[in-house]
Amino acid sequence: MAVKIRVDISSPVPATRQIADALRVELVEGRLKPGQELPSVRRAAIDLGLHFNTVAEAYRQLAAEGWLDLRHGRSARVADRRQPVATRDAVSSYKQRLRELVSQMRADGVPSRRIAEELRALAEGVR
Amino acid sequence: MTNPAIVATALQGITGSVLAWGMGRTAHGMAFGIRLRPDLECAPEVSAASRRFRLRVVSTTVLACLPSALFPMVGPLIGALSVVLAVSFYFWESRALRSFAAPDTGGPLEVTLDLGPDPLPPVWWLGFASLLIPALAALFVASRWDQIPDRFPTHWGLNGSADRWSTKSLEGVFRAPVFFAAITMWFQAMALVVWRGTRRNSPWRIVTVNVLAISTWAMALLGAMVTLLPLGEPSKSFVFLFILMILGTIVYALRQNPMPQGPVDTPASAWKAGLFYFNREDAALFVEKRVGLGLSLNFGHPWSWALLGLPLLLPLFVVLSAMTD
Repeated sequence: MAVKIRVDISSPVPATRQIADALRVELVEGRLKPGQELPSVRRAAIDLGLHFNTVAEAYRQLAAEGWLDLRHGRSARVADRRQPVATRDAVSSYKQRLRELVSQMRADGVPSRRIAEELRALAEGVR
Repeated sequence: MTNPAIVATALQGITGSVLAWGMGRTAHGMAFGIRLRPDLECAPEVSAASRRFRLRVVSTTVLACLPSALFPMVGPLIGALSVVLAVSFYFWESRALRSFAAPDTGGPLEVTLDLGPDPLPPVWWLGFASLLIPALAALFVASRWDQIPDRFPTHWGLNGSADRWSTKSLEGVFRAPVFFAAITMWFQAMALVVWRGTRRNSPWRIVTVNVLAISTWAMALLGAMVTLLPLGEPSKSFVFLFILMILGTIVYALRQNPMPQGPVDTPASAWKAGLFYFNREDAALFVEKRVGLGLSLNFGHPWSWALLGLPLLLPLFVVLSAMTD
């Protein structure tokens, strides 16, 4: 099995975040299942053309969120993560970010119906 | 013309041909280590640069062949000089084409991260079996211990006469198979490092491991030939088979053209003069060469310097070995 990761080192978004975001999408959408092994930090760094620390930091970030199990001496595995209950503040913060994104999309000429369809499809794609 | 002259001239010719063809090629939008702008890939200046480079390298090779044929002893020096000249011609053309370069994309764009296992290829494991050849030769020599003379030749000069000898002792007779076993292990280690240190999506990964595997078997054959020296002069068929395997390996490597189309996976800014890759931010030890032929060391990786330094141990072993004779 393979996952496509888009990393643009000329982007202002740090490569660590780009990797963590790309893997999180795979985890959230269920393509990476609990118990599945991820490539070692060394192997992933070589394949992505990045420094070991960049990949290690992305793995640690996902482990801190409960997605990965990083036990010493074995490969990173997808953890059986419990669905956390989002706080009201968190929902409010996401709502604000979504509003900004939707405004940007509308400003760029994406029709409201299309935005609604895309959001619904993305939300339904999540397990 | 003596035999050494033919060997020196042939080596000069082979090296020159490989350099002229390999370094001067323009493929997949690359020329002299520069990724060309798509609209300039077929520009007459690009093909002119390639023709000019090849003409210069071929002329240098032809000029180098004459002194190599007349004075084979200086052949290696002239060969080294030809390589230096070819590299400087390469830099020259790389500089000339700089204005044709496409903008740097900044590195990998979209990478497929393989989650499956990554076992070593069977050809690598087969490399260990090549150890059997010098081992069997050593057993054969041991079984005919009585036929070994007290002193036997182990090296022949360029004029064809023996110039180094060894004595009938455990160390003198069995040094060769041990030495070649060490070489085999070195080749196996190199193949392992290439497999582990190269991106999985690089087609040159398996090609390089295959080339090292064939070389391992060729060295094992050479090892068997040297191991049998105490019993007399080596059979010409060994030498012929060895040369055939080396030539076969070169032809196999040159015939490969597996550079994938699409964005280059290494930032242009990390290539020094289009030939040397130096990127501390890239964990890969080997990356694809920009000439599209083989792999290049990432000099920004600390292990690259160790890999360059370790082969110095081989000549050191040879010198120490010669001093103890």
